[in-house]
Amino acid sequence: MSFDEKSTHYEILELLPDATSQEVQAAYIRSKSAFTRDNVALYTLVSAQEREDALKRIEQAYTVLSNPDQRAEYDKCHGVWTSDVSKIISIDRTPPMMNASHPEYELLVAPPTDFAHANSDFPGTSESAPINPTPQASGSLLLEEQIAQEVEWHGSLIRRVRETKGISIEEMAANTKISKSNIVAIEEENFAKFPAPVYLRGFVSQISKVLKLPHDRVAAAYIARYNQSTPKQDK
Amino acid sequence: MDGTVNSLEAVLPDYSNNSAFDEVARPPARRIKQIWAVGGGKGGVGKSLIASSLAISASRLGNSVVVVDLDLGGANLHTALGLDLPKNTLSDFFSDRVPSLEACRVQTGIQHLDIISGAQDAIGVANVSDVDKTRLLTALNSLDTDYLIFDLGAGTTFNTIDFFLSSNVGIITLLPEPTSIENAYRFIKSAYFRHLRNDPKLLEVQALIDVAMDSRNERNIRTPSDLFREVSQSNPEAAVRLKRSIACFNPKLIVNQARTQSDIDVGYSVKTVCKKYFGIEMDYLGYLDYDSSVWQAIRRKRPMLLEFPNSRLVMNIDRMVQQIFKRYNNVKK
Repeated sequence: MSFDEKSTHYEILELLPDATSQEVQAAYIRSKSAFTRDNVALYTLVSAQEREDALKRIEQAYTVLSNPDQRAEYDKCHGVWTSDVSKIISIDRTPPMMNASHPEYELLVAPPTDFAHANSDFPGTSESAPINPTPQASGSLLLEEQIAQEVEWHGSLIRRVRETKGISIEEMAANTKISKSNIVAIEEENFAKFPAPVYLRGFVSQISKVLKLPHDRVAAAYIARYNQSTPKQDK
Repeated sequence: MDGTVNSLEAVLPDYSNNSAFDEVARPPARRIKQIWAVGGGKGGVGKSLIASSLAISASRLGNSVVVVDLDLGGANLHTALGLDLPKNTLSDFFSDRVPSLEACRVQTGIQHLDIISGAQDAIGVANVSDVDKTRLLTALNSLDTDYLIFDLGAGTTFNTIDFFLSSNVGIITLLPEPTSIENAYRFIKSAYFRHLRNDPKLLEVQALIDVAMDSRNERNIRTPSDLFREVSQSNPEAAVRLKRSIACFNPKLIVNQARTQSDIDVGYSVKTVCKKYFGIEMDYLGYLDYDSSVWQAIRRKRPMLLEFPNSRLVMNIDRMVQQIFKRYNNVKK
């Protein structure tokens, strides 16, 4: 039962203590989307205040559980038993696509529809070979420096971050529920193929969250650039 | 009995070949294996359609099934199955015009599937007394069949809720729209509190549960978590039992008329929200696409499953039935 203050971060996200980082991610997006403001599933049951509180707790839980150090600390303080501490860390080093066929994934992905089948062999997403961890590690250091200083947040950088983290477009689509074509369009800054402007901010910030980028800044910068480059008659 | 459950799973993949079951000898006296109930609060969300479809699908797997129209004030399950109103209905049972409930049981023309039709002719029969309700439930439970499937009425009257709670697998149907969700939550809430209220192990805190059921109560118990907190303070031992009782309440969920991915996702959200709000585990059984062939079938007064046997809707129904068998074949009252 997840009643009130006593629930652990794991209970908030409906996770077991040995959840992998993939599961944490999936659970976060699932819980968060359930408590999004306009979600019809909240109607009459959850007040605005309760919704805000729930969202706050989900964010708190995710902040801790998505960070291996904070999570280990939290587990220690709360006496959460984990079978193998190294497991959590090693999962992050494993290219995530190796887990792509993992059954937990199905939790978030809708039951297959015809549409999904038709789309399943989308071109241009062929980076399914596991990435050699060594160059990735050194590359990610450089990248982290760049991220710290970044203000423009071009789609190409978002793509590089994604690829460095070894997240395929399919996984990104599954995690964010944004269609693959939209993700590609955002990364390529292919404005002609963009989603409707109202969705763009949400999409960019969703993607940034999965990549653990400062999503507010990324979305703001990205939208600003988009607005500058599109003539207003589009609207 | 145990053997039948196992063999059922074994034949699941090629159940479409119905003739294989014709020769299967049935034991003379069956005991009901399970009761499924289809409810959901709002009218027009597809309860009758889903109940009849689940029944057809389950009967095609070789189980004998009786589908019961418990929408006492507005029975129309027979129409969803393409039948005219049978001669004997539940109103004859209530008014003792038939010797037993078996006399109301009518063949549907679909193998292994019978229907007990709801009352429609007698005005006021929707308001059956507690005595009649208990009598009906007892009679239903002694029917000679494998599965009983209840088609419940709209609304949250105690009768409807009690039929829902008497099932082993309670299914809530909703559409991804505010009106339906509002009514579904009211239904879940009513069933939830009545489930707790009827739990003999919670007698000591029954007064508090009664207070909580009145949403404008003076003790400011608004939500299940308020109730839990109050109970924890006044009677910590009862709080443990309360928690256990809550864990026994596991409605299942079907989203009907889904048009988009976000419609489908409403099911996941409802599950998450209910977990947070009620502390209950709901199981999202699946969704059904919005499909205009349904009204075509209804206008022709033909069961959808028979009219469009190869549609995706029918596939989804079959999958749900298999899922119910697989996950809940051990759930007993």
